[in-house]
Amino acid sequence: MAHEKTEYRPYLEPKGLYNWFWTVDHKRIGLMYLYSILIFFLLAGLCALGVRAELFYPGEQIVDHHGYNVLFTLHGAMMVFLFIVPGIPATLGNFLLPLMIGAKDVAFPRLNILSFWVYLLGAIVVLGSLVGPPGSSWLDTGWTFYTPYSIDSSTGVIPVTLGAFILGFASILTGMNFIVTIHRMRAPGMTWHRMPLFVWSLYSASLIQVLATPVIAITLLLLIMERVLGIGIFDAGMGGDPVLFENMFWFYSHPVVYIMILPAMGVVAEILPVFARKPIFGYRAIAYSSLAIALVSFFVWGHHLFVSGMSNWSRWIFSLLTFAVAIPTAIKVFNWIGTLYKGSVSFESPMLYACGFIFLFTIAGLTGLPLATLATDVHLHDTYFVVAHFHYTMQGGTVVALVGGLHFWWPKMYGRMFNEKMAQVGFWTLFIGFNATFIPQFIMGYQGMPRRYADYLGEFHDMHFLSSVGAMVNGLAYFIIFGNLIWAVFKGKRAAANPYGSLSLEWQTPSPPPLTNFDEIPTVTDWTYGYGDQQKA
Amino acid sequence: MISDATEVAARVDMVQIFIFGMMAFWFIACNAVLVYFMLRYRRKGPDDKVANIKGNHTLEIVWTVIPCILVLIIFYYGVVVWKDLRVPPKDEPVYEIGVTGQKWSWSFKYPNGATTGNELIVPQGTNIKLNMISSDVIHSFFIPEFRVKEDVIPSMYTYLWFNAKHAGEYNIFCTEYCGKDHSHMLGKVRVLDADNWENWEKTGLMLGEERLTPLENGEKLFADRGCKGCHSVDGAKLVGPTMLDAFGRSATFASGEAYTVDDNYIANSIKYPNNQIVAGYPANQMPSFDGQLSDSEISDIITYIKTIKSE
Ligand code: HEC
Ligand code: HEM
Ligand SMILES: [Cu+2]
Ligand SMILES: [Cu+2]
Repeated sequence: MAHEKTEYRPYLEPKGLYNWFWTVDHKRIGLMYLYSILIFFLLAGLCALGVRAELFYPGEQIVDHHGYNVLFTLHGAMMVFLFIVPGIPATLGNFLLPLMIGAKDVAFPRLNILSFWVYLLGAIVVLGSLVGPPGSSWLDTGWTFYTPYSIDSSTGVIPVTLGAFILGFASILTGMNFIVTIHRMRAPGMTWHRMPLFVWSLYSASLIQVLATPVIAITLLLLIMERVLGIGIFDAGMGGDPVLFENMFWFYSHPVVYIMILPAMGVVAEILPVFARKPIFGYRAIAYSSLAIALVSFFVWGHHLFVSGMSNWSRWIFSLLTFAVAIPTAIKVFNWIGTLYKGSVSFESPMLYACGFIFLFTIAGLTGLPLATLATDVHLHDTYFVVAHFHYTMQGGTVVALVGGLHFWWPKMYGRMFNEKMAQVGFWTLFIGFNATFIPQFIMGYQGMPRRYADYLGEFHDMHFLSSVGAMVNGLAYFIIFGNLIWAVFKGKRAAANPYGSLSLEWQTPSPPPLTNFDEIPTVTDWTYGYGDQQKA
Repeated sequence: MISDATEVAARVDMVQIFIFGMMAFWFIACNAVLVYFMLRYRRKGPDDKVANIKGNHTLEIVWTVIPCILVLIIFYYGVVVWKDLRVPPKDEPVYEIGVTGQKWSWSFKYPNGATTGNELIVPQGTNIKLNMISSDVIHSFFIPEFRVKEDVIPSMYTYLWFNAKHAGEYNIFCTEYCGKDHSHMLGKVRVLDADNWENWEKTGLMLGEERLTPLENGEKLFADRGCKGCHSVDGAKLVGPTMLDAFGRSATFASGEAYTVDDNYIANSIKYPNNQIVAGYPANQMPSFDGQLSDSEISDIITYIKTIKSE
């Protein structure tokens, strides 16, 4: 192949929309995914701020009840389907997977760009639900589309479910592509047990994407058929079973939370050893616990139905199964912390995010315990306690890891450094704003404040007020963080090929990498985390 | 933080305290070690010596087995208390009340045939079982101070039970999103002491309470049964037509047929709302109150509607 030494030309050239849209380069696709999901993160975030603004005081402030319901629905639906499910795999995963295993691209580059186009199509169809008068056509079912409400609702259930159906294919395409890439495209010497843990986490998440997504596709299709043809599968009036929908919905949507969190855990496992200058602690335990979580995640959906008329037997069996996910999760946390032991730890912004992730994720994981316990979940179910819990996993976990990962790999992606001081300010603003938003939600949830309430009793006012103040700080943080990163792309200092001294393959090529990643496919002789061995040499 | 008004609620709190203790311990333990490592092994210079540790099998086994044991304990404790929270005590009498959830109000039907709306009236110190069903979408019946909650589903009966320790008033919330006024689907449990309860069961009145006039009763029913959430009395268009100047009003149905609002029409609209649909309004929105409101209650509501006049 390598007949002559090619001249270095970063993948960011040639410029031009056309060259980007028709590209098959995994790095460009990763960036296009990144820009797209960040736009939806912004829109969904603004909806969240609208929700919190309305809740500063009881009674109606800025929107009526229907308007409020639309806001939290759009927030949840966009955050889940358009932002966090593609999330880390489609952005960092696309960009890094081939680089990390020493390949020139993913196994099926054309399927990869197809996935992005399908994603865009799905997004457009979802947004199509906004054509029409807000009062009667903007979706108000919650992102969960529970029947029979979603059968009766006059709002845009069909465009949004159809859009989510289409988005599912984008997700399946990416998942399949990653699985085949990891099996077939590893560089010589890159054995399974030498692979970076981020790759292991992508592998586990991809398995879920491929296996679970078809179920939501079927579910949403049945819902559309129910609305259009009245087939009577979920409609109680026709002898159907509305709770069947909940079962099918969560059979997908529980595993999906692990599509969201596993890659985030992978990002953290990459950042920690680099900044601790130490091998990752318990490599195999972390790698296999990802697979264990992926497997168990398919058997716990019933914990969303603990009070939904399920038989008492099912209730305690699902409770037991749910506790099973706690174990591999705990193992991961212990191993991350162990990685710092006797290391040489420095705290550039990516490391701050990684440590912040561990801190927030312990809260996320531990607050899952009373939700998995039958006696206590009956009280906590569908209150703000749950809202706080899943925001600690999704925002405190996934989003913090995504942002940390972006800081870590930004020099690789753009060849530029951001302003480190600003990055630290951004981190602390986010950390404070986030906790200020959601700690009050734990408290009022425990006191019995139900979720999805446009109005609330006076006794909950203090906590709602605090939470809304926190949310504004939380929102501000993202403007600081992304402002800084965007500034870096245009004005940042040039970055070295390997500014953090990582041993992983993606850093052994120029920043930004050339189109083909490596001049020559590298041969791997050691695992990715040999920081301890390195110092003797 | 939140009082417990039943025996079982107090035991649920014990489980909660046990778990909170466990959470606090692990939260502090993990993060204390994390922060300690962060400070203790802070980078001092480029030539720091680091330990070349890749893992430790014994540790790995220890920190797998210990959490396993702990979660099994939590699980077991949770199931034991939940059994009592969920299943009414076997060989004790239970007083059963029917509950219907509908957009956006609760109706209760008592063994003696009485009905109430949004206000659940129960005797103190008695095992109460609620048999619940929805007449439209899924709702969920939640009494925070009793630590009980169960979804209310169309076409499927669900149940919950409780035994309130003291006389008093407690909140009822709907906790399954059910549309526009989900957050106003609120109710109260009124727990009565023995004397008061006996009197209420016989007369439908609290001790010392005067019987309402038909007009007053109609106004109260209009509010308690959730009519107000969909029908304004000031001319505003909510989910359904306003009741301002409704009586005697001439309008048309979606079918094009003209009609005039009179006593019979109102009574039929309350019992069988979907027989005719008013033009410009969605069908299947108004729940049927057939069987939930007695004929005398309906006539009280009509009396009230007649008085809602502009000027
Ligand atoms: C969930 C919302 C909802 C609730 C609760 C509700 N209604 Fe209605 N109601 C409607 C809608 C929508 C219509 C118009 C469509 C139709 O004819 O069914 C309507 C129509 C009516 C009409 C006919 C009005 C006209 O102008 O022709 C009457 C009378 C009425 N309702 C009375 C009541 C009473 C009394 C209650 C309480 C016991 C009640 N409604 C509760 C939604 C509701
Ligand atoms: C600025 C940060 C955020 C704020 C202030 C915020 C706030 C809120 C609020 C107030 C609700 C409504 C709760 C209710 O009424 O039940 C909500 C729901 C939700 N949020 Fe967020 N959120 C934020 C970020 C996120 C992120 C990053 C995600 C996911 C990646 C997310 C996912 C969700 C989901 C799935 C729901 C449930 C929606 C529903 O009930 O239908 N949020 N959020
Ligand atoms: Cu789940
Ligand atoms: Cu509700």
